[in-house]
Amino acid sequence: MLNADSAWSVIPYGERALLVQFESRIDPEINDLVVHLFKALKASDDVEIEFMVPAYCSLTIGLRSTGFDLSDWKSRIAERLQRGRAGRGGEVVASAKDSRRLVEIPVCYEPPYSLDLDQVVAFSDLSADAVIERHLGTTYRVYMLGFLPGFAYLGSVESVIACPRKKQPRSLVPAGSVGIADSQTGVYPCDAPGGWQIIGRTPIAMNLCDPESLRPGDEVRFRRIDASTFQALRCQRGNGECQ
Amino acid sequence: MKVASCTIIRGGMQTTIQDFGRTGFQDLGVPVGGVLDRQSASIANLLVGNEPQAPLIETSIVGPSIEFHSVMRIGIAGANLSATLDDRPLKNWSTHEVQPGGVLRFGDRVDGCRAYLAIAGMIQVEPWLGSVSACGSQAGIYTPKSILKSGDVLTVEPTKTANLCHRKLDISLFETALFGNRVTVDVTVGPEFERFSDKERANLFDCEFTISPDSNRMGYRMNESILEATPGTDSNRWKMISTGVFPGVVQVPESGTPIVLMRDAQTSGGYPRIGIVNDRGIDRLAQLSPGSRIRFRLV
Repeated sequence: MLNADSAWSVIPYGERALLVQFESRIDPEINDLVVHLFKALKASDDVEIEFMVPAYCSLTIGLRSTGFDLSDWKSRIAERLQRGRAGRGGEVVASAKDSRRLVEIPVCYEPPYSLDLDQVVAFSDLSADAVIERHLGTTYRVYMLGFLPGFAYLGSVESVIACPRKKQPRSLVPAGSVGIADSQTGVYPCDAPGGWQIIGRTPIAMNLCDPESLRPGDEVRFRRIDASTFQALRCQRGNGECQ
Repeated sequence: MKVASCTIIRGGMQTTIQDFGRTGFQDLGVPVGGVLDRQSASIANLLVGNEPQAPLIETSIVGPSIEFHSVMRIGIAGANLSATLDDRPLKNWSTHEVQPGGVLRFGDRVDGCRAYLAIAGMIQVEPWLGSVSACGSQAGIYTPKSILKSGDVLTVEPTKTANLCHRKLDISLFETALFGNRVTVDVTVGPEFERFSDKERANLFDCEFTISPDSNRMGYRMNESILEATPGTDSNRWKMISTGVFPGVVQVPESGTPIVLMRDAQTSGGYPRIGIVNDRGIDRLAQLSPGSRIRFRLV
């Protein structure tokens, strides 16, 4: 069980940033540490912090000015991680867990939305329905945001359907598309080029400023809907064209 | 001074409205963006009495043509793109008065890469996440009005300071300085520095690189690889779990050709980071165009 004493280091990352590095692997408990530290530093409203990038197993802290005191930052970070401890077991609590949401995303896995489902079927040697069931069967966590504004990396997808990216990315993936790339799944928050294998689409807007927009530490489950429900939900929310 | 306006007659190559970007949203995948050469942009603004970080126009290599409809004060700084006003050459790093009907054009690139055009007052554009900068990612979706193209009309509101012209600003240093085609930038050691051999690190700091045509506001790519001719078989060194990056980070993908991330770069990356260029280095890189030379100096 990971706790606040789990291995981490902090190093200078350029003249005006620090990199807090935890053990290098994709692991929900390690990510809990990252999200906990990120939220704690954010809540502290430290004027020296210009920005942060929480990632799978690291936290980048961008500072407003050069000339930082590394050992001072080490202490600050150690303290924040300690504060996450609960009881003798030393489990990282959470401020990460406390503010975590479970978001349910409706997805239509039918044509014309399931652009690359056949690729995942071929990769997994399962039927289309079985692939979809596997995708639906996991509660994913948001490990980080990146690549596009509001694009959340969700993990982890069952290995049998963890299909690699397309060799040639699409120049346009429609907004709301749900894709798989190796052990990650995600929703495109807007029209964008991309190489993920698209298996369905959600009618709800996942744009950055929308309430369903995902944040690090959130949990996600997908819910299967049919094409007419897809249309109904789109119109209801005023997204796109409605017949 | 009343509200003033101008029309973009021709957009030029990459003409956008920029300020100093939107920071604090990197955790949401939003690049910071903003002017690539902060020093030149500040000077353009100061030349017309604007705050140094005020919205202004950034253009690169091929500049726009703009017709002004009001009496306006403009400042140009940064790259010398042979600016003319009604076909009369305009001095770079200077303030100029424009009359209604005046047409500003740009011509041949003489020096540098990115030119800044500041207009006295506040350019009226809808901000997104606190900034009017054309977003580094999907600008057409998030900040469409900040991408300037033919037919666009810009309005500029007067501000208190814009009437003052900072004539005292001593730009004599810049009037004669040239950006040139050769630059050395300072680099600090990156998190994956140790993944590269002594020879490869020496290649980064001892050699001159040329800027690839595949360079833009997201990143400047080098033509040359730092990899040893017969590299070791350690493929683990390319294995990376996505991690945060920011402008200045120097990534080395499997091709071995370094990429210096610029202000529109994505906020996360999966390539080893050999070093980080500082803010001043980014300003200098911003004025290099494909074919220019660069050296990296370890500090």
